[in-house]
Amino acid sequence: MNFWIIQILNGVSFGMLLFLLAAGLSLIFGLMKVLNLAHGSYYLLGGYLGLTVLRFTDSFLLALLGAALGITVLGILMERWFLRRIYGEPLRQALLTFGFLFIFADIALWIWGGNPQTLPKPGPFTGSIRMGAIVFPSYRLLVIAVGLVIGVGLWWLQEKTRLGAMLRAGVDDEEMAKGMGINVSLLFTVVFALGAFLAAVGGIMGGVFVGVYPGADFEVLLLAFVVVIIGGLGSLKGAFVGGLLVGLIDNFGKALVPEFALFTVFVPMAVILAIRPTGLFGRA
Amino acid sequence: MRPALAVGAVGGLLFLAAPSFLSSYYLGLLTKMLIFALFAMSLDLLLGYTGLPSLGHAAYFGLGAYTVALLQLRVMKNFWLNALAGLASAVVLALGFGPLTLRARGDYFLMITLALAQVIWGIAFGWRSMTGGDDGLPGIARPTLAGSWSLAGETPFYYFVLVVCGLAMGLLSIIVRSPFGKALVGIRESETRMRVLGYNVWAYQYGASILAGFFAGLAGILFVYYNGYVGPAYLSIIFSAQVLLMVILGGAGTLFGPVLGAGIIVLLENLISAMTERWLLILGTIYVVVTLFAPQGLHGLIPRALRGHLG
Amino acid sequence: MKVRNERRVTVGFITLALLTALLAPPVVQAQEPVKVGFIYPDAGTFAQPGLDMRDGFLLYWGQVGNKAGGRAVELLLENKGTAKADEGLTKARKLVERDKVHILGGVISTPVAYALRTYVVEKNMPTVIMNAGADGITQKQKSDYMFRSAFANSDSSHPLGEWAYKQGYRKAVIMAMDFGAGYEQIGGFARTFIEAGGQVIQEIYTPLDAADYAPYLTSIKREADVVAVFYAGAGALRFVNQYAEFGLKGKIPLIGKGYLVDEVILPGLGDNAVGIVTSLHWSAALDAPANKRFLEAYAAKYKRPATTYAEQGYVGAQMIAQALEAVKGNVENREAFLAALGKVEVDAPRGKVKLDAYHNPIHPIYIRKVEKKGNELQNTVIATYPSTSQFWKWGPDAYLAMPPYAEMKGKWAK
Repeated sequence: MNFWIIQILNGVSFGMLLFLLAAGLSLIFGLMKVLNLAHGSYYLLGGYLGLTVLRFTDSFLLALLGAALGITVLGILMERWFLRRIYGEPLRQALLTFGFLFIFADIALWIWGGNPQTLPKPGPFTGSIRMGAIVFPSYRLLVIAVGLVIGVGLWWLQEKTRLGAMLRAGVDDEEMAKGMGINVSLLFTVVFALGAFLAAVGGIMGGVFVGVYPGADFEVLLLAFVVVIIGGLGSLKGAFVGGLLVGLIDNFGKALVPEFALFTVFVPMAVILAIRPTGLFGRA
Repeated sequence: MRPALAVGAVGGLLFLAAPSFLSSYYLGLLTKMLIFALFAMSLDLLLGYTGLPSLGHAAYFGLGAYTVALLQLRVMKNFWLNALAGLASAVVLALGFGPLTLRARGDYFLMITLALAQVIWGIAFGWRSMTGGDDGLPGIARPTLAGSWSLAGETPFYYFVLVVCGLAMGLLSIIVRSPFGKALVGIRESETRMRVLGYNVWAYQYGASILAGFFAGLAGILFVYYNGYVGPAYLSIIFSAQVLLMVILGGAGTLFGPVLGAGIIVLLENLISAMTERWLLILGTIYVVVTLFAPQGLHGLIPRALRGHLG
Repeated sequence: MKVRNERRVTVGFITLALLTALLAPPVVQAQEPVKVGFIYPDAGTFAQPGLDMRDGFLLYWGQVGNKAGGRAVELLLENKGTAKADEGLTKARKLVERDKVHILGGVISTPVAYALRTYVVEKNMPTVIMNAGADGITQKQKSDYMFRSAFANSDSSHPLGEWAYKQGYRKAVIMAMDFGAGYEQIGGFARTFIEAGGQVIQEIYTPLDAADYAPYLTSIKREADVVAVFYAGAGALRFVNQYAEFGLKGKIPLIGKGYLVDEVILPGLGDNAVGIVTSLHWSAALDAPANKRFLEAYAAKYKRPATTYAEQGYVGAQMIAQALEAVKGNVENREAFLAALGKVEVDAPRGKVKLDAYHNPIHPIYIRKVEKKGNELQNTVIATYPSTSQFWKWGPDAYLAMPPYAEMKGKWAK
């Protein structure tokens, strides 16, 4: 019984991290049809930046805000100066963003070095909670909480605000949205910035228990894409459900069938794609 | 057409005469460029001509390589039979993966090809007793063809690769200019339209993926003899991503573009990393710059007069 | 008349110049330097170890003025892009065929080492591996041309098994990353632990990309009295932290290979690492004069503390230099040079190092314990096994008759 509880909590906390990464990617993918391979770099740079801010200020909150802000600016610059020129051309986007992936990876190595690092846990969450025979780190519970809060926030944004309405319209039919007078160009920038912001938050939250190190950008990118595909492009709900699903399946898969651990992420994806080629909540 | 033919002829002569003016290291590098050029062209058939972006193409490359390596180390040293088996294995894999992947399109196709390639990678990585696991299989000697033509030397092997790649490229050229090839382009432009016209779109896509797998497997076979070694890296996402980049950089859908892309990337990676530690940064910047200033890839930079028969 | 004079002057001048050139004594050519090629990664997970190994290597050569055996030594560094075997091979080709090196060195990762083996044998190239640890390279796949300055994966695991039994542990759970090096690193422990009389009650192998060890940690059998592991890099960082987070620290002692508490991740582990005992052929806290000199010189030159990879690069350089001295710089005489390499005995930072007949180091293995010294953590040496070889106490014949560790995965636990 204890085993199951810990596995579920673990799967959910990891799933929340995946949700943070996939949410932004899914929106960017769905609305702008942009393939941003540097999304993982936002995670990595966010984590590293957070580490630096933390070293100077000793405040986790400041690190979170500072790094997220920094990466958001980076995202906006990338969108305005580069991606804007190649909308609608997925191959060129792939090449461009891959180039940035390399550039960011090398800059990160140059500035922060190659040794693996973790962000220290925020003050009140350094310990573990004991519930009977179960010991579970309280920080992971924080991750779940943060994920839920952001999830609710995004839902509210999408369903209850004008921005959200414009977003949904844009995802549905860009031409019509433009025709209705929606400033699609500004919308795109806002969405891209949001995606970068979420990835950076993921980088800091994840940097505590997954760590920041060369190669994390690539690993995280892969997982985020898997979640987006399973959940369906352009769907926040899909990113949430997909994140949880992948987090849980990965955890249980690795625990129950360790011989197939290498496949626990890809096999469910392949299965879902075989049944529903556009993902759980995606549009055809 | 004249300038293109002239350039082609000069180019061909240069390739034939290469061993006389290139040292063994540079000749080896050129051999590597040719192998990757073939690999890239095989992907271009699928991506550039049929419009199916695969991020798992290394699966065929690696499987061809592993099959040949395993047969040579454990079963028999007959080069022709081993190579045939290697090609067959790549084709069989393509036959198997086709129905699984062709249900998806666009980014979903990207991911499912990735997933399937990862499964193959996982098997190679984990099945230690068979594949050597992450250590790989070293010690694969270059074959001796018919009689005493040993390919152990740099020059004979280069010519062998040149001939094989030349033939393969010629074949691919014919394929893309044939009605089959033209149909593929039509499918890339609009599947619906082609269906309405009565084409069995699925069959054409299947055919393209089998051919692409075949040529990728061929490149993999050449590569394993080139290095004398095979490892799970040959099946990895990195390899698949790298060949994808070569195609895009060179210019998808042009057949010759990917050749350029492959050559340039292999060359740059080796040259730049020899000069500075920040080679990743420079390479990434080059990709960004090419994207912005060469919308059709490197191929688009070739003056129209020269493109002629090559594109 | 003026023109004819000028012509005469010009001809005379040219003749004089030619005579000078022909008759002048030949400029004494300085003897060509010994060229040492060095391959290392500088991107991805292996970047830092690669850079450390290189800097340790360069440190030594800088200290001896880039010469040995009476000849100048030219170092050619080739950073291969990633840890991909085929790129390492391409770099080796460049060094051997284009740059005409006499010796190859470096090499962080095992696939590169295996890929190079065929090549260096074909080219008769003496090669000193300064990190890649696959057992096979100095065992069943031993070669006349490959030497190691670093270690075989299992050589520092053997002492740990014996030591663990002596502490009173009888039931061990072993865990490692699920790949060749993992099986070899932990296999050495398992074999000696069982031989001493202990029992391995469970084996757990975790995928390389596992971000979460919780599923595995919670399945550890509670009747174990020790958990012995091999983790390195980011995996080690995560593992040790999660071991504490999920309540195992303090319940079941954690021991393992030195990489678990490598000096570079100790700051990130903090109190979670205190008390962990590991075995390795080096420790930054090793209180020996050679080590202290090395640490000071490295920190002074590179403004960062030395690591085990740096030490291995340093020792590799020491070996090459000593062999060059022994042959008085005549590296062109391959047989003599190879023989000299086989006979080296260096005063390494880790202690005295010499090579066995299979070209793997015979060196001291240290049992270290993480302790807090002031505000910092260190791996204090608590026991030493001097002059340990990869064949432990069995000797090469008995050892090689046993199945290799890579094939023992899953066979330790009864």
